[in-house]
Amino acid sequence: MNLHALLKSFFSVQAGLLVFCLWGTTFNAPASDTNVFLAKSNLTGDALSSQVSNIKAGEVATLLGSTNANLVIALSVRDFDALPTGLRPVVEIVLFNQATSAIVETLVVFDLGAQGNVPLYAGSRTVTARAQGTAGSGLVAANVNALITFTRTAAGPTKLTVAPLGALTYNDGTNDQRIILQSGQLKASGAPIVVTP
Amino acid sequence: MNTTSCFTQRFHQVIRTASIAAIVLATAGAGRAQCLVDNVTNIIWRVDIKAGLATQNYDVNVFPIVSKAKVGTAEFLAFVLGRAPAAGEVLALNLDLRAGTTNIYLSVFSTNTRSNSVLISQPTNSLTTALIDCTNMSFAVDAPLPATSATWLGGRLQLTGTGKLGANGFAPVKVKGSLGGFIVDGRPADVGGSTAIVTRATMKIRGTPLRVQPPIVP
Repeated sequence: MNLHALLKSFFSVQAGLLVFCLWGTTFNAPASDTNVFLAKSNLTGDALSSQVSNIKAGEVATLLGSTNANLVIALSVRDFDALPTGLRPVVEIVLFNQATSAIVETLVVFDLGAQGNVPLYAGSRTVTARAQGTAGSGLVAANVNALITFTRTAAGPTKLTVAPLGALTYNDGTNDQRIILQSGQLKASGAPIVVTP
Repeated sequence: MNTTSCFTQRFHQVIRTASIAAIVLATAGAGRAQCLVDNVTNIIWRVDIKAGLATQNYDVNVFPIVSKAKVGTAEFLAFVLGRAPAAGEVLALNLDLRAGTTNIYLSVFSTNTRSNSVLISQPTNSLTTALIDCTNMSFAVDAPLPATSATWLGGRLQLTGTGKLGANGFAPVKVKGSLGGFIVDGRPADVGGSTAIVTRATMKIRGTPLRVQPPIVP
């Protein structure tokens, strides 16, 4: 058995023991509230209408559904409070209604604990991660990878940036349309708005 | 390029798994002239990258810290090859934009044999979205990177970029873009092996094409 197979076998056994130990245990998952940050955006990309054209930050938000003043692109983060051992922090790009303080649509979901995603922990406060995004309810498809950084305190998350690269597919009511995000980031602005799950 | 051809757009979205290829081709404007994307085979460009990498490390108190490093084309090639690149080995960006198939991938190209010696990303399992008209192109590729040596354990990169279509609209030129994702250096940790996330990276082609060759068949 080579080293790789040996390690794989070892971790399989450990995972099995963990599942066995937890089996029959009753506990409440300490999921955190969802914290939503309004976001400053300088995302740019390309779209295809009559021709391939460059789109600016405001246009990205409009294309993704931010059609009235109350609907804005925002960032949410949840399940952050047990890092780095327990929960899987989830960061999302969402469409947020400022008037009702409600998430209207989830656009892209970044599950930092999912296989293939790589979070790095600087101290116990800051997380830097590369995560593959999946489409939320507001998109047809998402093929993006984002650099995500956030800082947390005992009171909750304080800083959050998401810099996505890749393609988003949305439906304009008639057809599926694509945006390719080429640069820029979404940066949390102001204090988080807590949305209780 | 004539005016009508400028209004002819193609949209290629190619979704690939190991055995599935789905292609969407949309052309706006019935009766308008086609640009000559059909004639493109596989253009291989030399490409330079500049990347920032971050890895997890620990200080003397075993407190977790993030270490950062800058990597250029030569260092990236050394990661992939497990050795310093030999004379004639260059990093290459392959663009295959025939109608019906779209492959954009990175390779190590040997100018001695005039062929790819290592495919860094695999066209058969990448997910590619390309927006193309007769003047401009924009693309995004989700590219899993296979392990190709004992020290290069692959990773996953997102390539995005833009380019112009030269030569009357059939050859992608002036391509530049960005990279994101992670790579895995499989060397022991005490000599620098680690999983590294790409914090920021740019790529840009240079020179004349390394080769314009018939397309690979997925």
